[in-house]
Amino acid sequence: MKDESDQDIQRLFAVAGARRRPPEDMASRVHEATMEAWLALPDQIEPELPEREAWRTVMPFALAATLLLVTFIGWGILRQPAPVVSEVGQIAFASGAYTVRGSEHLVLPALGTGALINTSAQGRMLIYLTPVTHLRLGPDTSITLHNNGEIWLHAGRVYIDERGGAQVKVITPWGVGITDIGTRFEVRHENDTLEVAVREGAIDVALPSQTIGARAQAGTGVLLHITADMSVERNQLSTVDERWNWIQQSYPPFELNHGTVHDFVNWAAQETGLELRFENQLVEQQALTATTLRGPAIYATDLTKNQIAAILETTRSFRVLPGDEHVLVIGFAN
Amino acid sequence: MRHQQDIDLVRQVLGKNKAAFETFFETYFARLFRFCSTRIDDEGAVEDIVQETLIKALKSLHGYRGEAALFSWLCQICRHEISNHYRENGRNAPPGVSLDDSPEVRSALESLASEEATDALQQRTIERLVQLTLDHLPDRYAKVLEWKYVEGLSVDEISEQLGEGRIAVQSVLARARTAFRKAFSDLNLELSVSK
Repeated sequence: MKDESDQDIQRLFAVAGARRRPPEDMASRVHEATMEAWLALPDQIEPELPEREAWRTVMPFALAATLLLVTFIGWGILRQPAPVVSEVGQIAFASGAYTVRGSEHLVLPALGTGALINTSAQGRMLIYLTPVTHLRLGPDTSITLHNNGEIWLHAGRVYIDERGGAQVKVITPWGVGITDIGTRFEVRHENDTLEVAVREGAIDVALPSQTIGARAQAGTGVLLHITADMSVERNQLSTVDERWNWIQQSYPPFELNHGTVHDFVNWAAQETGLELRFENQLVEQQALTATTLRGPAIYATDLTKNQIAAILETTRSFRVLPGDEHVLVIGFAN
Repeated sequence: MRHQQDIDLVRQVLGKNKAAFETFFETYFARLFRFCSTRIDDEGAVEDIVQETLIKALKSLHGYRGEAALFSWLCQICRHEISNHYRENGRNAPPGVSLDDSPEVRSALESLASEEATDALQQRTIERLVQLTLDHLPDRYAKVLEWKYVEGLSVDEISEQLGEGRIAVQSVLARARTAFRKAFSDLNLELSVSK
């Protein structure tokens, strides 16, 4: 029986052909290397589900673990286990001088549990805690990487960019803990002052007596000014405020060559704090597939919406559409 | 929206289930290869990047929470690896220039344009859009569509490949076509390539 209703798809596939397949020898090599990495994973690790579900899964094991703990507590006291040190991040970019201590067992750029990192007065650094959790350090900053979800800020400023759904906690010298809820935020402890700024998403700030929340929305972030006596002053802060400019100096330049328009506008929005929107899905898909860029590496320092628009104009296919100050809307060129 | 099927697969991969690992590799290796190939010409570099993406993904898999589709999550990692690749290669390239030198940058970017002439571009765009759509469909749907419309297999031959009866195959094909049309129409494109 002939299917008359599928002629549209037939014609489309006739033009497109088959999806490109990776060569078999490549597949075999990558399979071998990937399997080796998979076999080396520790046994019995579970995905980090959101809190409520994770507890439902973990509760029986927690009870069993408590019993075991009670049984073997004496043994635990008598025997000091050898320290287990593992990689918790990688330095992806650095400028100016810096020192790393407590991570000597690993070769830089790898950073281990407990690494103490200090940047100089001109120092900047970008650390990948995971491929989707990035940490930036400003000048004169000192931190300890407790693990890839917890950072102890001793002095200076850090910026967290978390896009993978994991939670990152920053502990400050006053014991104030800041936990993100899928977000981008900055913590500064400079000149005996603690400031927490949220650029996207939301955070919880745990003070000794209370936990307060802060959420950014529609181009307006929040700046919390916390004094030593734990009083909190709350102000609004634009997501494109000059305060954020330092983070652009902690990121390597963007390589235009072979990048897609999609890559470029994503990077530009990430660095400027603009909220990226495409006029419609067709624009987004074309940005992803139709045009690749050619040109030199560019720095985000002081990148503005007008400069982004100027670069897009050269594609002759895309442009920045008029919109709110904090939004970057991409559409087709006329 | 939680991606429960992806979460289940991740849990099984982390639980050292070999069949789950093979499913993970079979499902995502070729897709990442295509994702990366559209951004990098050098096949050797593509191999390194896809391999590194898969290895890093496995090491970070415990952090996957199902808030995005697993393929989208993998693409995010792959994008970072591609950026790293250009950054590392950039060491031998001419130094970057600041946007402060705007006229110079603008002039250097003048070469930036659509990749090919209109007809060829249209064909290439359609190729990429079809691939993109297929890569985002469930693997089973993408496979039956390719078997039927690219390789020209009959319903009986597909039935043999899947080990299922004719009626089941016709039903899968119908669902696959619907899913494909919906995904494609989401791109606001008309399902017609006739000029």
